[in-house]
Amino acid sequence: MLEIKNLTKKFGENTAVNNISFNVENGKIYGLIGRNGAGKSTTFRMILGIIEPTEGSVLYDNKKIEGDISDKIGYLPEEGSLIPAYTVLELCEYYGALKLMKPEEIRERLLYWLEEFNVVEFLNKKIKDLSKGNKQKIQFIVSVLHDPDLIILDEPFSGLDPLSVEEIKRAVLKLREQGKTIIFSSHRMDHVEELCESVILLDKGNAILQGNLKELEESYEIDGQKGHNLNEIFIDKVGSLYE
Amino acid sequence: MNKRKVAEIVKFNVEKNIQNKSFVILNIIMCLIMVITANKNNIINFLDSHDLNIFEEEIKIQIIDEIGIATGLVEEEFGDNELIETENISENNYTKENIEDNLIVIEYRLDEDNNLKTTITSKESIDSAVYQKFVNVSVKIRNQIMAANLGVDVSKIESLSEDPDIERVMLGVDAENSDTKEMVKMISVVIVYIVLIVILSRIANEIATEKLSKSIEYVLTSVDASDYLLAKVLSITITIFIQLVYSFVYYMLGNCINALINISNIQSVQSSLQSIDMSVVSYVLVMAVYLIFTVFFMAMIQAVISSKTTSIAEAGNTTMLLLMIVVALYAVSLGVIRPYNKVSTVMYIISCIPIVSTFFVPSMMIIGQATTLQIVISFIVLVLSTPLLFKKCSQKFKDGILDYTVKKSKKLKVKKEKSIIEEQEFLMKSNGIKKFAFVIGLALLVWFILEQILGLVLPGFAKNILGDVLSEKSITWIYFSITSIVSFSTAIFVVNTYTEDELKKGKKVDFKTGFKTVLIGFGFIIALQYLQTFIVKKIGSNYNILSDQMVVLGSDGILDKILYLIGIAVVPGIFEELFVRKAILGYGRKYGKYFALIVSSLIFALIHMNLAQGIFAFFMGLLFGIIFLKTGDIRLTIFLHIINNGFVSISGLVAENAMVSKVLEIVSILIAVIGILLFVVNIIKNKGLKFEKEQFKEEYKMLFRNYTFDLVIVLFVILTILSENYLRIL
Repeated sequence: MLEIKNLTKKFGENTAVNNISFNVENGKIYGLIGRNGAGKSTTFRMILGIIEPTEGSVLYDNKKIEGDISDKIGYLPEEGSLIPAYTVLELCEYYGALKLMKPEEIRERLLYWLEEFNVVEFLNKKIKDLSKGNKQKIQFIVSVLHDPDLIILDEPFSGLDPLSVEEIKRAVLKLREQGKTIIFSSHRMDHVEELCESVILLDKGNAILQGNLKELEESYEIDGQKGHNLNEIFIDKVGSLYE
Repeated sequence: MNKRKVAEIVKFNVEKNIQNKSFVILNIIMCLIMVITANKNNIINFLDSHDLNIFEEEIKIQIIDEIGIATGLVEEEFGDNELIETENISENNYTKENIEDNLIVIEYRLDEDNNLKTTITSKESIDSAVYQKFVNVSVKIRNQIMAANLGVDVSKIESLSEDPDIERVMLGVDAENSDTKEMVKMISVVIVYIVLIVILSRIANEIATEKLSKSIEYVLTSVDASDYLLAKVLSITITIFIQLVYSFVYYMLGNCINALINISNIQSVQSSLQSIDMSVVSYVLVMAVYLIFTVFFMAMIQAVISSKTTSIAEAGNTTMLLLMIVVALYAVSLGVIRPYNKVSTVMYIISCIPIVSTFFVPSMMIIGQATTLQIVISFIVLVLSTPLLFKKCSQKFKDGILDYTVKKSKKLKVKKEKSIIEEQEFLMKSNGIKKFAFVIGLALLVWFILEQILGLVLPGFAKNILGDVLSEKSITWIYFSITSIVSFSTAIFVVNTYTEDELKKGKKVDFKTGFKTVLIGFGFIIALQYLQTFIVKKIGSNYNILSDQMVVLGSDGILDKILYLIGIAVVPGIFEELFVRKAILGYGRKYGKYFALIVSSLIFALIHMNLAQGIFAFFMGLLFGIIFLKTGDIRLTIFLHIINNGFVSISGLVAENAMVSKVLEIVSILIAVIGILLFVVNIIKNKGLKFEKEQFKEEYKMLFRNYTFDLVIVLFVILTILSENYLRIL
């Protein structure tokens, strides 16, 4: 289980993330939603230990995320993290080596995932020659290559055509079946509704709504009426904050 | 620290580095150079070298001739050169105290085994051309003796390739400080510089790419920033170490080939192995150890600096900054630590500072002035400061690499200010300037290489053809002119192939405007000339515009004088203007007039490859550039350029005649005053100077984003710094 307690990050006078707490049970899909700059990526970076939180703690299976634990986590950064001059294979060899994987293991798993997305021909292609959507697929492969238990996907569907979105969704669901824990962020409510069990809604670094998705949708009231979808809830909640 | 991960990254990077195309190509070139250098004598013998013979001073040669044929051969070798005076003596009684300057004592003796032994005694090092002649004489005598001993024909012996046994005795300086060591120092300095260029630009590029592609974010989920920095720096250090080992292998390979070629004379191979100078060996070893540390330090500093940048181009610029620091250190270590100067206590202390020590300690070692204590202290300081610096750097690196704030705010600003069309124009301009920078860089490189090659090849060639007809001075000016014409024309051709046709077209002004412009230009030229003379005198530098060229005197023949004026005034006037003004300024002005003006003046200054001349040339370049931009007529600046160069030359020619000099001076000042008055009148007529406002800061940034351009500029700057003392080696 991933436990996040009172997580806060301040950049100088700006508070990027303000005192948020949530738990993610193993084998579940958790969604972070919020507008651009709401603090989603910062939260992820703190979970991954890339940046130090100003306050609060992150525990995975009751341990701090560092050293070997961090190898159990897969991460898909928001704006892509591929080295343009490398080929797909080279890149995976490099990133695999960072996770202490053996070369044969890297090749085998890479081929498995390339087949999964029907893009085996990309193996020796350079990253810079790939289209944006295909880069995102490679990005996804990289993040799950070392068979992590916890997968963090920052905006995995941005810039993808509907078909590719479906492919990645299918892969995400498959991973859940295998018992992986997945956290992902999005500003597209339909994707979140389709995949997540629980959500947290961030705005300006604050958690303004969180809990089980179904319960939220059933219990949230707009003008005295219940039973709204996430999109309506989001607009109501965030929109009202800006009035 | 996660050692396994660091090791994995290092392994991956090193493998990638040594499989890299440029690494392989560099090694092939290096291998070739090393093999060729080791077999230089074989190659020279094969090509049957000619030698250039310009003696600057009178030389007195005293010969001790036990063989009987040496005196004749020496005289034959030097021909009837007026500056050489030969004399036979019976004994060499010279010591440190009584040896004169410009005196060479050469002894030809036979040892017990009836082999020739040559001893050359002089106060300081002698001209390589002169030395080569002694070698030639020794070779001839040795061959004759050997032929007599073996009872074969001399022609069979002549194919023997190795140098004769010559002992050099320099009484004036410490025997430890020979020219070879200066050469070794020079070569190692150049190699270190090239190594640093390669690693710094690579690491800057890598870090910037990783930061921009955000792959660093993924990497940091697996390793700590400090581990990652360590791995990165270590991998580059190890790559350099491998390169050093390779270089050693190439060196051995070259020597093995040399030994194989000279297999007929095993003895000489053995003796050459015995004669390896241990101080050079220890120098090379210490240099290698310190180089490894330098690479580590510089890579680390470069990584930290480039982690703060927000674009690859910016990272490239920071490399230039670091390289400039290295060049400055080199220049200081080359200039301050010289065989004939005693190293001061302050220098000893400075030499213990990390990075600085890398250049200073080996340099001091090679001239035999480094103490063991100093070497130990500097090494301990180096080793101890490494972890301290690393700790500091890794924190800064982490802060920098994750900080995207600058980029975001900048990007937003740009977006606000520029519409899509403007952005496209900006991009087109940026690409255009980058291409412009590449073209100039390429042209300069072509010019430089041709100039050097022709400078080596043409003299002997010209002498062979024209030697009987013309005087030596005339020949010098003929090949000087041909070299300039060919190298500049090729450079112009390079630029013109990239220039659009419309830019090549020139304008022609009417006679009146032309005359007025020339008068004003002349005024400024004279003013600049006097200013320069004044400044040079004030500084007290012994700078002379003709210092490294042969001065033609009033008493020389008329043909000498004409060729001299052509070589120094007409040819450079025409071709420098066509290259710098017409080609470069003409091409660059579409990116901004002031921008192109300053760039072309800078290049005009750089191609002089002389500090004092360069500064003056920069202002001349501005003057000519402004005239070219205003009128568009290249003939005017050519004319002015010829007048400028010719003025100096003519005043040199007539210097002996006080009367004529005075008249020339008065007339020139008169014309200058008229010119400047005309300029003032023009300003008053036009109600002040008109300057069009133009922003050109961005353009310079774009200009330096081309690595070819950057490297060529740095090359020229180094050559300029070194030219005063070392140009002759090149």
